[in-house]
Amino acid sequence: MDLIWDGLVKAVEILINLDPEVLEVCWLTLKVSGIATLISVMIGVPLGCILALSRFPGRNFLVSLTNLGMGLPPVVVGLWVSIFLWRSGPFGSLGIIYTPAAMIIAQAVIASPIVISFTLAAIQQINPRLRLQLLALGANRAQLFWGLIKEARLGLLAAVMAGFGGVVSEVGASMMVGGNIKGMTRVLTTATVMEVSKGNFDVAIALSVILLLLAYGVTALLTTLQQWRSSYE
Amino acid sequence: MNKVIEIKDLKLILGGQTILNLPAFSVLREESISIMGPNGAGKSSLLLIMAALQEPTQGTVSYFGRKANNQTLLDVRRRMALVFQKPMLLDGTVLDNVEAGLRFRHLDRKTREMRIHAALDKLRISHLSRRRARSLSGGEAQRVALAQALVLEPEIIYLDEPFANLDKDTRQDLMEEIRVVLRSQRITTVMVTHHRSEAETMTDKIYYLEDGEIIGTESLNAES
Repeated sequence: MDLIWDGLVKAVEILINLDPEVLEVCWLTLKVSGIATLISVMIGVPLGCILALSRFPGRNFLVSLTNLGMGLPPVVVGLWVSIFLWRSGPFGSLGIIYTPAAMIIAQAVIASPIVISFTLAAIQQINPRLRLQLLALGANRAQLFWGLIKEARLGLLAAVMAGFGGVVSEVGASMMVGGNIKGMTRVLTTATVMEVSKGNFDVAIALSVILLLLAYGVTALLTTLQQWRSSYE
Repeated sequence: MNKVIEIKDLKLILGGQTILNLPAFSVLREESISIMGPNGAGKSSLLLIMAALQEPTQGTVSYFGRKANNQTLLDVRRRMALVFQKPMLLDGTVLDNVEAGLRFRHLDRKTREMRIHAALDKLRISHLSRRRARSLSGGEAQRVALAQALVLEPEIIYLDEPFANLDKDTRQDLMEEIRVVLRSQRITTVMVTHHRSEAETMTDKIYYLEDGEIIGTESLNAES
């Protein structure tokens, strides 16, 4: 119990003192996971819509693959992204291994299947007659797409939250492609693991509390957005 | 009068079952017809095909004298409007709903406002314009669905049992109002209904559909 208490006290201390090193780690965590989520939304929402609205051979296979992708072990993603980004790898010339860019790529790979699956479910839940109604009103492809997105916005915000939750909490991929370099690629999860390995459990607990608060803050913001519209209907 | 819809050798087969089998069927400009028949006769499917929202399994459908293809399908749809039996209103205000089709057509704001005002007035729902569409009663929602269609100033309007969910008084009032609007604007009307009284009030001719085939027609007094 002392350990937990010490950790909580340390967390409060860090927050009150606005430790610049921790602030930097927090900012990088938000930046990397935020951009990765944004990329996964840009990829995942259109793909989820296409999977939900079209019928083509191999669709079921792709849906199963996406659902499988939701459980992608971050360490596996980290390994494969590393292989591609190592100097000897196909994209080695980019020179982005052990940079935040590599972490963003790995996290986007992790979050995309989550966003695709949630989008697919959200769009499929829409009453099929709405699609006909939009077409009957004269919607072209893009207008139909946008109309359905607006209708599924609650589910899509859930997709964003799930995607962000999935990447802000992962450690394996960030460690492998980022390397946990101080001041460059250290994020809250990798810093926590490092502090545990050093035996600094109070600092590790403090960092984990900050990570939880950060994740909660972002999720609370998205939840407010999600529930704001539905509350006055 | 020229044919705005012309169907030839049409078959619609879904799940191995023949839903429609129409060797020939046409709708003339400014004509107003009803399609009657038992449940499962294929009435709504025929309406969807005429509204260019469903492709037939075989046969041809000409819209305004031309067969539609992928390039012209959108233009064809934008010359018509469809009111479903159960209004599927968009998640927004009444105004958003009535404006949707006009926005899709990229009409300028002034034209949109003018048309929306006129449509809301005609359907007597101006006072509902700021209400959430999905919080409306059945009758109100049906009026919004009709406004959503009429605001588009379509050349053809398809009405799929538009008065089915309304109580008797509302139904009678709304029917009269819609009839006047459709006649005054000379909109070609195709209505699916189960009620002969609705067909008599709203249209000039009844087509009887059974098991996907037209089994008879009946002309009605246009002024009844």
